[in-house]
Amino acid sequence: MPIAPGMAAGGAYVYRDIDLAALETKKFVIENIGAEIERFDVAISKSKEQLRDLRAGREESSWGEVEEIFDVQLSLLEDAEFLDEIRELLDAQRLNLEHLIALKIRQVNLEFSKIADTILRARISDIHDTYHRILRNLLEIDHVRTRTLQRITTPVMLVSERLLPSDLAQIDVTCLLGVALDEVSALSHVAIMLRSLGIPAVGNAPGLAATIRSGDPLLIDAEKGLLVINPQPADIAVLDAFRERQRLSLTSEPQSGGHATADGVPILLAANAGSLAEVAEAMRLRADGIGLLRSEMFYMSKTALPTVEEEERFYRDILALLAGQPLVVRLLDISAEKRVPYLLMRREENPQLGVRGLRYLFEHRDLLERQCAALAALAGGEKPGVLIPFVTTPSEIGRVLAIIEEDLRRAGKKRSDLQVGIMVEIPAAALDITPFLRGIDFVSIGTNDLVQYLFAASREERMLDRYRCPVHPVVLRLVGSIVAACEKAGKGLTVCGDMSSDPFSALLLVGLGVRSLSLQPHAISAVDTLLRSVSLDVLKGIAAKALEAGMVEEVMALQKELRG
Amino acid sequence: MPEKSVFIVDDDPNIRELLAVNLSAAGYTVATAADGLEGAEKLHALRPHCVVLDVMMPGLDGWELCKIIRDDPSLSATRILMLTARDRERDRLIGIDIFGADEYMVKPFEIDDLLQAVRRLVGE
Repeated sequence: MPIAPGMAAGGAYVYRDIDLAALETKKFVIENIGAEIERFDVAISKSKEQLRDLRAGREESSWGEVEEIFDVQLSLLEDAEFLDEIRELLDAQRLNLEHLIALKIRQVNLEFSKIADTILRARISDIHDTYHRILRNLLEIDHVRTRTLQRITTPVMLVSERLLPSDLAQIDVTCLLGVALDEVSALSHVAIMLRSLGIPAVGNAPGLAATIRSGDPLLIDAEKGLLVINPQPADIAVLDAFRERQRLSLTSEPQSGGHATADGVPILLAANAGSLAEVAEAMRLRADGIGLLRSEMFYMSKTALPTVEEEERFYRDILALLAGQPLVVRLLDISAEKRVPYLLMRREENPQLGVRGLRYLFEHRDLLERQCAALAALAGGEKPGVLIPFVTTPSEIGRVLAIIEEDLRRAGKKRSDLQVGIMVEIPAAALDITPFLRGIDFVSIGTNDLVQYLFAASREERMLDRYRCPVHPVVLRLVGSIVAACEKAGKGLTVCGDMSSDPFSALLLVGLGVRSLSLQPHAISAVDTLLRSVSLDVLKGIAAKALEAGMVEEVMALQKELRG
Repeated sequence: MPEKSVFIVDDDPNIRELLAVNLSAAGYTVATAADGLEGAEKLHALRPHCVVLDVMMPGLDGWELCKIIRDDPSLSATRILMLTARDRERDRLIGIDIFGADEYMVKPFEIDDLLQAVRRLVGE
């Protein structure tokens, strides 16, 4: 799987992280609890010191908010609840701390694995990083890890099971020709860092680090997501051709967005993002602005509730990066399973059907008001959009609009200075959209949730994957009816969610009449390539057949027609 | 059958000497290094059957050298005996369970115990 674009070749350096798995099973009784607590306190202060150093070293870098990762990790180390919990466990069980913390990590992993949000899941590694740091400091072996990374002093192709932001902070990145990882999500901080550093990377090939030996000649073709061990002259020729293309493209004009079908019908390919780094990344990948900015990611990057001014500044920084391209900010979409550490959440039996999105904001009106105030302050010049998540009934929209209109009035602005839209993800809204359109400017169909609710198949259950099929004729007919209703009412429509990031599904949407998609930044290139190869008429024809299909298999068979 | 080789890495000259004399007398080919860095440099040329490795050394300590050996597939047959002067249970956990050493001994040790341990690891 491609993680960061580009091609590179060189000798492998296999980096193996210190394996702390044994700590889960190895335990011994502690006689002197006082001395053990003292070791814990020393390990915590050492960990904090290391993180502060890492953060200081990164402030000068161009990695955007990476230093905030270290802030979040520091706040974990200052979390009195976590620290007391460990001390209490020690007191009750009188077992070595390493064992107790290893069990705690296992528990955290289990909780995180239940989270549906792919971006949040990708951030588990940041939390791992903190706990493993405490363990290494307890055992006084942290230097072994940092020095292993610092020993990379000549250009290499780095191969590893996984890599953490703090690892990259230790390495002389000018020595990294390319990176291949067993385990990595394209949405993780490390993936974003590698892309912003321009280091080609591929990932998600379990067993890679165990197969390759240090010194093996490697070639990474991240354009195709390929890793070649012992590349042959033909492979090297492909690399040379790539380098030549790169050299030529450096001397030519950069391409602007300008995404369109083969017959020139413009299609807006905006990006989903959650941070400044992701916005920068999206722009580099030719996104037509940001169609879904997940504001909860900004809140999660903070250790305390941000002020209205801080939030406004964050959006202004993003608008500056976008240089006139559109920005749509989704209000906080949090739930009992997608928590912000400093916000109160109650436990729920079924968070996916519980108090999330707008329901949470209504329960915490101050948050809703703060966000609306920050967005109203931006209204006018760039005309940003605001997206209301998890709308169930039309009357809910009126309540939010009243707050927004009041904020706009106070800021001396007009209602038309701010585009207001709703997420369509609950079947009650999708099945009868027209009453929801009054008073708003656009809708954004969140296909991930809509599909989960339509098929009653939780996003948390991998076993149910086969039920959640976005190209099922039922979904397509529903999307088609929303497109028609929006056209009739003169409202804008965007589709976000994974459906937009899959080239075949994205083109089906275009055939159904969707002209604006918001997708994962790294999917833009693939969707654009396929889009350019086919005319709107062909897409309409395929969509018409898909709408008449009875079974999802019939829709999937249409892929062949598209790919010619 | 060629003689088995033992590589002693310890910054204490007295221990190096004590081990070298006794292991040679027991029929092993012996090489020594005065710290971890020298140990790391000589490792590949020597490719010893067994490394007797002190933990606390300046520059590059025994844990690091142990990890370097275990991360290197060309040294997968090399057995490692750690010598430690610290907390027994925790050092055993680090040396054996985390860094993959084969055996550990606590300083001070009886030379006969050490010879027996080497014999267990690589034979006569």
